[in-house]
Amino acid sequence: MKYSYYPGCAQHGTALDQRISVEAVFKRLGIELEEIKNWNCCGALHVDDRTTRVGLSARTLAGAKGLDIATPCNLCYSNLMRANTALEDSDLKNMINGALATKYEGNTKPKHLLEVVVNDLGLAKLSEQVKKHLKINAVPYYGCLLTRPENKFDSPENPVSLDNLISTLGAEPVKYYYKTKCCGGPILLTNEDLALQLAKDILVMAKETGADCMVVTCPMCHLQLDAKQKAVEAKFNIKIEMPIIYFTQLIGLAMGIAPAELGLDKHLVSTDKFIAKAGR
Amino acid sequence: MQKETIIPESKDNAFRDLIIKTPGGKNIPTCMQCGICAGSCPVSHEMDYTPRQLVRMIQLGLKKEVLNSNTIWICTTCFSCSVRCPRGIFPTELMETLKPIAIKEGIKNRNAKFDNIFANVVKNNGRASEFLLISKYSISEPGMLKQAPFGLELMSKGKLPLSIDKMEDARELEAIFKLGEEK
Repeated sequence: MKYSYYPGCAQHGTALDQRISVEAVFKRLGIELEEIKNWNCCGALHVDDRTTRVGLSARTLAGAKGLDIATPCNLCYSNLMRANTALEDSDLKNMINGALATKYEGNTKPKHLLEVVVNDLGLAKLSEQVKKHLKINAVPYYGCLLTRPENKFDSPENPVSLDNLISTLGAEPVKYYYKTKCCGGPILLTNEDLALQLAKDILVMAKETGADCMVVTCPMCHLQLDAKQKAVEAKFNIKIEMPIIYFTQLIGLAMGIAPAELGLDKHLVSTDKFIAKAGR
Repeated sequence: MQKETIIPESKDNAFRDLIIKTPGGKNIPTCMQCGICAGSCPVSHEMDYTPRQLVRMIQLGLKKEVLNSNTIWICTTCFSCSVRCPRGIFPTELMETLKPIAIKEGIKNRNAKFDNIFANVVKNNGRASEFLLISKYSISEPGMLKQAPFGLELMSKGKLPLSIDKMEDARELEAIFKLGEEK
């Protein structure tokens, strides 16, 4: 299995832990991720001009060289999917292709790494690699942009792919009603009060399930829920202490990979208790 | 909220027609005010007009009120409204459509400032270096200074490298950004 890999900007910064775990896990799963040469930012949610935003993703899609694109980031994934839909408009496609060195034909398929594992590799195949059943309870948190707005890979209302992945690793996915509710990440820098309020709702609800950790699929969700968790605790005078684990890290633990090799020492919320329990 | 009477002079049909012609705008006239968008929105309680109200205001051509509302900038772009709208309106995309129009009309706020910084960082470097973004934004928003300890904490974990992440060659992006500037 081979993909063109589009890491996205966060992998070179705040998503260091995710990057380390992707490198450790995918090689062992026999999935080759070949990084796209000279890749550019997808524009996230902050390049306001639509043509430019679609153009940035069109350049990435054109760089896939006939392979499917895999990406670890919900934002990048959503932008690539939306660009494909926007580029069904042939006038827009022609205009954008006029600005690209490599023209985009319109047939690259973007996939989130979760989709690559759950659908392409398949959970049956993954279970063969599981060396240690993780006897923990985990909150499956999908965030917004994994299933919205394109709705192609899992349900935007009640997705189950991450639940199924958690079960395959021997852990228990708890019932969690906020699995697709927004974490507030996109407005963190411009409206921190509101962003922390959204993160608080999600964290408090997760805490109430009694789970050992929350599993995420997106660098921005991780930043909000792990890195800003202390800020949430201080602002609302509550204790959360909820480890926020990338799904790639969870896979790695079940495969018997050492926690440090999965970047679990790079979190801002301590993962020690979680690791001790998962490692039993 | 105090109710205001809509006077004929505040209706701008050209604005309404402009928005309806944008990608995703063609279903706006079909909105029946069911309110699923507002009910699904995680932040509508902070908006001065909910997405439902904003769509109605566009139908009525209330340009000034629409472009001055904080609704456009409070939206977190989570698309909850968009996947549920029974009329196939994508309120999230509507917010994205309205942002550049509001900026062109002279609206100034932190979000517009941040988006401008973000776009320029990407245009010049090809990638969104988080350190560069935060530094540039902090210079213009002194309130950001209180985030310094948070930045240091990220740095201590190696998550906020001072080196600026760049494409090997970002020149090709100039042509892509020019597409937007030419309009």
